[in-house]
Formats: sequence, structure tokens, C-alpha cells
Amino acid sequence: MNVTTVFAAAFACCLLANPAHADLENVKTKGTLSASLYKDFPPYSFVKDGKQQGIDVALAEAIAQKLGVKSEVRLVTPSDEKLEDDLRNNVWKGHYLGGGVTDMMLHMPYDNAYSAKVDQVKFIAPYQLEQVVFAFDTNKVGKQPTLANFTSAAIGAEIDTLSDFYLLEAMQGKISNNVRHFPNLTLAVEALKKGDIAGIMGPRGELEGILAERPEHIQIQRLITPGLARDSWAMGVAVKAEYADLATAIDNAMAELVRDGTVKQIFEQHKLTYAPPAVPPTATTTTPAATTAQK
Amino acid sequence: MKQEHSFRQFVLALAVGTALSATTASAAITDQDIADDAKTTADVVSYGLGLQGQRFSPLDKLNTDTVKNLTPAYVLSYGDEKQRGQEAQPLVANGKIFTTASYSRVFAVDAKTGEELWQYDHRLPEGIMPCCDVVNRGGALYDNLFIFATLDAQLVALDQETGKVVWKEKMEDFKAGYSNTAAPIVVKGKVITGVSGGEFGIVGKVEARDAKTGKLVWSRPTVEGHMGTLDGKDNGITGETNKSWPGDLWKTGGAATWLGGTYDAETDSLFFGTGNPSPWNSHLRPGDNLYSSSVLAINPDDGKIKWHYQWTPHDGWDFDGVNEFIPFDLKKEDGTVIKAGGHADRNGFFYVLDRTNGKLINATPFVNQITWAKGIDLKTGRPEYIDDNRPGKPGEGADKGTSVFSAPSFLGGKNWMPMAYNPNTELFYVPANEWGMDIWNEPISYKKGAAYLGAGFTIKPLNEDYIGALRAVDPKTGKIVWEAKNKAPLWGGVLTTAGNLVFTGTPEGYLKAFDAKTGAELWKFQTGSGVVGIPVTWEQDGEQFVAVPSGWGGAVPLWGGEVAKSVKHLNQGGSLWVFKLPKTS
Repeated sequence: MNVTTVFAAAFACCLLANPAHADLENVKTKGTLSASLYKDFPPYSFVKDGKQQGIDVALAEAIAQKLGVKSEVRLVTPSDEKLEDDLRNNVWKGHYLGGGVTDMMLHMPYDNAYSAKVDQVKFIAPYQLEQVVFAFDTNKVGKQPTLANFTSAAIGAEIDTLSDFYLLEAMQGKISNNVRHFPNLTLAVEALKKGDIAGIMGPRGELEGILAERPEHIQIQRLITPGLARDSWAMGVAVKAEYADLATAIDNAMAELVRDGTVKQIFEQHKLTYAPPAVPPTATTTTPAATTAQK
Repeated sequence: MKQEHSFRQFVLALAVGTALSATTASAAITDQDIADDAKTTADVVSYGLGLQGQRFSPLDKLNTDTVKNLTPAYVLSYGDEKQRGQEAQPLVANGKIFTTASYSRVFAVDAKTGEELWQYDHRLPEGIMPCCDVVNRGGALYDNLFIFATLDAQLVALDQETGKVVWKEKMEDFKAGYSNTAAPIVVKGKVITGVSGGEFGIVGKVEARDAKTGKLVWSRPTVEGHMGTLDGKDNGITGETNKSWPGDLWKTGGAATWLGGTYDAETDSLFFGTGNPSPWNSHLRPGDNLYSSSVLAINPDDGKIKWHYQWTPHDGWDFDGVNEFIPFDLKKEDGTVIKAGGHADRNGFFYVLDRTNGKLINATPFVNQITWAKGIDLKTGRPEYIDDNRPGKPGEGADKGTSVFSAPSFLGGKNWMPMAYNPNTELFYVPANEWGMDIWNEPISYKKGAAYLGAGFTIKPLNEDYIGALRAVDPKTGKIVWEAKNKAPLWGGVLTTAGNLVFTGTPEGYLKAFDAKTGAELWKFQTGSGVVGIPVTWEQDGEQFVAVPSGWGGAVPLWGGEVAKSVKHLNQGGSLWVFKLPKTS
């Protein structure tokens, strides 16, 4: 499927709608587009030298520019349970400790099956395909490792993630004793660089970003992951369900940014391979065999 | 009309009382005061009305005959918009009532007039993520101090006279997911605390600090493999490293001690319960996962573990094992007395252990339906699991076909709210709830913007007409002697007295009194918001008083499903209600 045509179709449909609602007007009147982004989440959103930086920060800025307003980024702590909490706290209701909501939140899934579960939010503007990959030390597992290498070599994962659970269960639990848990991938990468572990399983964007400067013996690539129902997913933007006009405006802005190469450029500036979003796979129909076959 | 009348009296009394009240010099709270708390009637200086936590008062002016005359004395509104769950137990000493409130606040009240003496608002940083409402369960008194724990995992000691901070100690890093909502206890000059926090990456521990300075004395992690400390030096590893966990999961094993603990002077042991192991899904961590979902008997002098008993080995239901363990004398038919302890677990079983060694004496259901185990084997002390009813592996059942029904739900046959033991009736009074849950794997789920293997659940009431049931449990037989049903789930603590009474609150807003022998409801009062706090009683100027915080909240309203039907109309609040039995009646 061609991404551009999808966006063009979306654009065409929405030109017909009547854009006279308050949400977009409000953003223009206050002159800012506020965005919730995850805190301490390199290379997407983080603070360095006292400044908000990262791919998602740059994307929020680019969208705001298209809308002719200033970008205002709020860095938020993720829920330790599930994304629905983040959406409630930052997009449609606000946390009960206060702080209210923002106009949009980036790094949100663009997945029809998931959208159907959260009525309060509109998922729009897909901009990236995230994939589960492996970073590994070629001195320890060679240049073409398979999952089986980690039955005898330590592998890191961020605690309580898809990769963590997959590794604990993969190969009938034969890897589980070699899984090393880290609070975040930055710390896992430090351990990999020090030689404490032989590999890391995690999302490509994060690993490439954190390993932007890497020695030659550390490589990043996909490996065959039998039994993993989903190894990629599309990322986009979430706005409150009622904000139809704002959603359209952001959708259009992102479509232009993808089309004119701005998004790709932002990813490349942060030393990431840019994978444009595809139609998200749905786990209910993807069997492990199909995943392997894709590879 | 009687209430309205009393209220006018109260306003009058307040005016007169203020004019007459003179500042009384406060006597410092000593270790002896705390040790005697269960026997003394003029004060309440510890969480549990005595460190054993029996929540029994020897007062009997208020009894099955006189309770009908129990009348409001005064009420204090906590004010502002911070009206969340009020789960605290008040303390009473030197003519003052001290109580904590939602958002890590403390109020000191003149016990005669109900006037606020001071208020402490802990400044909470941004980024705290409490799992289950912004509650606090109470403080501890020692010397001239009121000591309590905060949502950002600090331990704060305030001057009882002024409410000013005397010392403040960081217990853990809130940014790493730690928090604290439990009431500390003071044992032999040391303030003893647990720690709470999110599910992931944290390790539970029990710690002792010098109560006068806050300086750490010892620390005891609750997951095997972690090093304890005493006076800043290594003090032995908890258990045996990696014996009951795969890989490095013990390093982040959970077992949070989020509900605090009790202490028994006869055996000189602290009893602290521990939370569930992480990760949540049990298939990812084969083994018993010690010491999660257990009770630990700990030496208060050095933090060494004396014995443990695991309520739910390899917990796959998020049952936790934090509920209080209450020491009591188990009188056998042959006249012998066993130093025992009682515990009503989230998993639905009521346990009696020998508190000198942790050996199981009896385990019986205190709820009507238990799906996860057939029973507890009294010989081995282990559950007889029903394997089919264990929630499935993550990623399994991608078509959502493998939903498991589990009773009790993870909110438990009994949750945090403390039960009470009455040595006269020899019965435990357990605030139980009848609910189960459908639990399934959620293949389409996300966390922090990434695909994830989550679990979904819905909590379901088991009966049309009630969820809550206050139950009198005979620890000798495990039999339920009486029950008092309640439409909404019970979420408040229990108090029992020598006046043959049992007090507890309801989410519908009532504080109620029951006949301790029959369960007959004898008195109730509508407080205006749900009661999820813990009642206390004491004697003052020859009159018996009862106090309870009112303010609906806690974990129940955070979960939807069918349970929401019985609670969604309830209004939030925040106040301290104080009642008394007037002399004339």
C-alpha cells in the first residue's frame, strides 16, 4: 500500500467536512499546540542540556508550525500498566492529581483493533513503523546470530515489555535464565557496550537512537522470532475524540510532512533508519508462521 | 431531629469550650504507652489500638444497650478540592486527635471542641504515580512526634504541638515507582515501615529507623538474594539467592510491603506481609518466588527473618499477601493456649498460624467461592491448586478464547481494610467482599507507545444484592458465626469493644455498630460520604468517644465493570466525624 495515496484520500475526504468547530479555533486563538510526550525516552523525547530534544519533540514542533502556532511540549511519566492510562491522563480526561490534558499526544499506536477499544480518543497521522529488533555484540554471537545463541549468552531487555515477556517464554523457556532486566534501554546499551551482555531485544528506533555512536562490533538487525505474534506496529498521534477539526488539521499537517520528506529528515538527523508506517498488522489474524514467512 | 438538636448543642459547646480551653502541656509518648495501648482507654497511640493490631477496646460504657444514644459530637471538614479516599485511622493523645488524609495531609484537632489545631500539607512533587488513589492510612506517635509516610516515599515527623517538621527522611525514590501509604509503627524506639510502589522494578523491604531522628538502623529486603543491612553494614542475604526465581527476575521481584505490619511483644516479632511477585504473569517466573505473597516474622532489633509462611506460592492472581497478621491466644478445647495469629488473605482463605514458628494450624474459606485452589493442605501448608483456573500465558489465546473466571477477584476476599479480634467473643470480624473476575490475555495492547502483551479483566459481583459482607469468623473452627451483608463492597476498617460491639463503615456513607455476638445491626449514622477509614474509640472526661474519617475513594472506584453500578453514584468527601455517648444517657 502506498502511504501517499492513503494520506491523499484522507485529505480529500476531509476537505468536504465543515471546519467550524471550536477545538482548532482554540488552538489558533491561544497560539500554541500542546503535546504530551514521554519523559526520559531517547531518541524520541528527553531533556538534554536543559532543553527538550528528540524526534517527537521535533515532530510536535513541525506540526505546530504547519498550524501556524507555537509548540508546547509536556514531558509525562508513562503508566506502568497500560497505554489507556496515558491517554486518560494526558488526552481526554486529565490525571486526578491535576494538570489537565494537552491537545495531542505523540508516539501513539495507529492500529484499528486498538482504536476500537478506546472511544474517547481519535488515532490519526501515522508517521513511523516501529519494529522489534536485536542489537548484538558480534564478538560474542557472531555476525548472523539466531535466537538460539541466547540460550547460552546473556540478553538484555527493558523490564515489562513485549521483548521481556517474549524472551522469558521463547524456546520453551530455554532463554529465560539468560535474560537480564533493565529499567530502560539506555542502561541495557551501557551493559552491551561494557560486554556484560551479548545482545538486546527492543524497538529499532530506541536502539538505533541510543546506539547512534556505536563500535563496529555492535550490530542492529531483525532476527527470526518464532511465536511472536506482532513484531511491528505503526505510530501516530492521539487527540480527544471530539476534536474533529484539530484531528483533520494535524492529519493533514503530518501528511505533508511525510510527503515533503521532513519526517524522514528528522529521523535521519537523529541517526535512525526511517521506516514509514504501513497498515498495522492485526494480531488476531497473524499466526507465528505468518510472521516468520514475512521475514 | 435528635441529631439536629445535638448539633446545636455542639455549636454552643464549641463557643464555650474555646473560651475555657487552656493549652495542656503534652506528655511525651513513651514505649510503655505504646506497649500498653491495647489496655489503656484514654488514648489511642498506635495503628491497630495496640501493636498486635487487634483493634479491640476494653471500654464498655458504650454497649449493646447504650449504643442507640451514640451522638455526633463534632465534625471537621478537611476542606479544599482534595476529596479522595480517606482510609486513615485517627490517633488520640493529650487531648488531641491526629489523623492523616488524602494527598499526604495531616490534621490535628482539639479533642474537646473539634477545632483544628494545625494542618500539614505535604508538598507532593510532579510525576508521582500512585497506583490506587492518593490515600494515607495513618501515622504513629512517639515522644513529641507524629510520624507518617507520604506518597512520594518520605517519612515525615511532625511536632505534635505545632505540626512543624522535626525530621524528614527519604525512604525511596518516587521516580523509580516507590510510594508509601501505610501507617508506621513504633517498636522499642524504632519506627518500622514497609514500602509500596508500582508493579515493576521495585523490591519490597521492611526498615527500622530511630524514631527520634529518622536515622536508618536496619533494612530487610523481602525478596531472596537481596542483602540486608544493620547500622550501615551488611547483615546477611534474605533467603537463598535465586532459589525460587528464574534468571535475574529476583532482582526486580516485587513483594512490596505496602500495608505495614504488626508487632507481638510475647514473641518479640514483627509481622509484615508482602505483595505479589512481578512480572504479573506467573508463567514467566516458574517457582515459588519467595518471599512474595507471604508473611515474614522479623526480629525488631536486627531485621533478621525468623520464619516465613507463604499464603500464595507462585501467585498468578495478584492476590498479594499484605493483609494484617493479628497475634491472638487460641484457646483449645483441652484448655491449652496456643500463641497464634490470624490472617484473612485476598485469596479467600482465613489462616491461623502458630506465631512462634509459622506453622499452619488451620485454613478455611471466609468467602463463598474460591476457584484457584481446592483448599490448603494442613500437612504441607501449601495450596491444592486448580491448574485450569490459573490465568494463561501471555500471548496465548490470541483469539481471546481463553478467559479464566477467578474468584476472589484480585481485589480480594478481603483487601487492605483491617479486621478486628475480640478476646471476649473469641471471634475475628472480617470485612469481606464477594466478587470474582474474568481474566484474559489481551494480544492487542500497548504500553509506553509500544506493542505489549497485556491482560484484561472485568470484576464481577457474585450476587445480585450484595458484594460486602462483614463476617464473624471463629478461629478455632473456621466457621462463620454471623454475617452482615452490604450492597457496595466493604472498604473500611473494623473496631470491636468490650461493650460487645463491632463498628465498621460502608461506602454508602454509614458508620454502623453491630452486636458482636449476633451481628444484629444496632446503630448507624450517615456521614455524608463513603466511609473507608478506620474507627477508633477512647474515653474522655468520663464519656466514651468514637471517631472515623469519612470520604469515599480508594481502589474500588478506579475499576469499572459491574461493580461500578453499586458505587458510581457515591459522592466524594473528606471529614473527620467524632461521636460520643453523652453522660446523661
